[in-house]
Amino acid sequence: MPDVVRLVRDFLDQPIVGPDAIPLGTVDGVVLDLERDGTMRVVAVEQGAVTLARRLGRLLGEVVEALATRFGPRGGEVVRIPFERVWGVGTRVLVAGGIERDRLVAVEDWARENVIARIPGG
Amino acid sequence: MRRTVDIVLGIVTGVGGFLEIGSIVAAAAAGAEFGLGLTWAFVLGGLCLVLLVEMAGRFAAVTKQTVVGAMRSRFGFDFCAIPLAAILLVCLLVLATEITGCAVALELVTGVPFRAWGALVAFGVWLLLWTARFEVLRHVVSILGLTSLVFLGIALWLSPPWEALAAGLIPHVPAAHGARWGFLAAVILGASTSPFLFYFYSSGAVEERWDERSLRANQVVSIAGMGLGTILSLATLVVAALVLGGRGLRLEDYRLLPTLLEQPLGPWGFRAFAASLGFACYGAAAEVALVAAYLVAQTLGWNFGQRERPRRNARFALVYTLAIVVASIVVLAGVDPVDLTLVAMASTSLTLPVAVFPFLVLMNDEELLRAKKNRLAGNVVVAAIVALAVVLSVVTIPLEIRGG
Repeated sequence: MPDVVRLVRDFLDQPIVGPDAIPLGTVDGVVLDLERDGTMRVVAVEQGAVTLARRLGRLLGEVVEALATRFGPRGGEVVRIPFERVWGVGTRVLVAGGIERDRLVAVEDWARENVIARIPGG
Repeated sequence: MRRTVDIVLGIVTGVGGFLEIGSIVAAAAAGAEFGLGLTWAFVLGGLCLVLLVEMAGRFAAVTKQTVVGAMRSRFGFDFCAIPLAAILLVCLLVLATEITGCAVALELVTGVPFRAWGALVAFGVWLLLWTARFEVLRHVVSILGLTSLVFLGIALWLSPPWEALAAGLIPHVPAAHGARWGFLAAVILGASTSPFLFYFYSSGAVEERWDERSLRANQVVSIAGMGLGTILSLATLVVAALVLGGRGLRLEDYRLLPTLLEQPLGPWGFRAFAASLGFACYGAAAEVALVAAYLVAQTLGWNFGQRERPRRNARFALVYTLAIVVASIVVLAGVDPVDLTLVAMASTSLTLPVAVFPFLVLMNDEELLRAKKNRLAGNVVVAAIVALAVVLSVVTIPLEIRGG
């Protein structure tokens, strides 16, 4: 990891990849924690439509959250990856595989199983 | 040898994929109403496209990133969301236009109204994307598109008035119908500089894993492919000017379009027009539907690609499927093909700045492109043409709407 990471320029909105270099979405939000001594600490990365929509405005965020809760394959849950699971930051953000991978690509899995694989030739 | 074959195929793709309903209607309207007076707009639009396509290929080869993905990383989602949404919307409009164009071709051949063909054409476009992988798809699209070479043959056969063509290189606002002239210029710039072509090209370059060794081929393909494509649209303009021009006609009915080839060639010309319109629009529809999926997938960091079965990139396949469904609803609504095309191309002109200016900033980023970043001349020429396109469309679209 580089010595200095500029949070908004080098981290937020970068593509996330897993250990096998498969795309897993983008860093849609960064969760910061304010320590007692006043320093900020990055605790997690958020990914998903709800986080993105919140960035564009509160109303849109609420609408998308309601839709995602009602219809989304993740039930409106925002995917948070603890920062310890982030292995590298560069032109891409590398995260550990395993459980994170499944949650990050839940929509892809849903689309494949419920729509695409059911159409002949898919 | 393999490199030469790739270059030739790339040029064929450029030429074969160039003409579609946008450039055909733009050329027909311009030729009928202003003769060769709008030649300059085709040349400027073509020049801008050559430069943009070269940049898009260079960007992919050096950074290995897609243009849209890099835009998001660099400028952030908050900045990109609205421009990308606007481009996606115009993309759907253009997709509807291409499907309509193919349906119109079927109407010309069979006599059955184009609205009835919309759903079948949409299904045909989807089927091509669903079953054909990237290389096959590209070759199908370009080989079908080569039927539009008939315009070049006819233009040469009719012996083009070279002096008038040269005079048309310098814009002269006509005394009457100045607003319409400006509107058509905006349409032509939109139809030729269409951002979809360079998004498609850059996504293809990333899918084919270009690297810095591809840069020379990229230069040749963008200059020769897009340059010859521009010559093809100029040929269409020449045919339109010679066949329809000077009669005070205003292109309002798409049934007038086949006259372009019917008048010089007779019934075979009619058939040749229907074939080249149908094939060109079918290929363009497949490309534009893919661009819609590329836009969404690359913005959101999804796995994407046309090299594997649809299930390997399920969300990507879902997006192009939905795009085709939405666009075919517009076709079924039965909007007039000529109006739809002119509106789609003028809207493309309007969204050019948001598609092009952030891209130019990326192309000048030393961290991303190092020694391969843009030179001043390329920046200035592209920025000037895009600025002209947007000024023309902002000024003339309201006048056109008010004037009916």
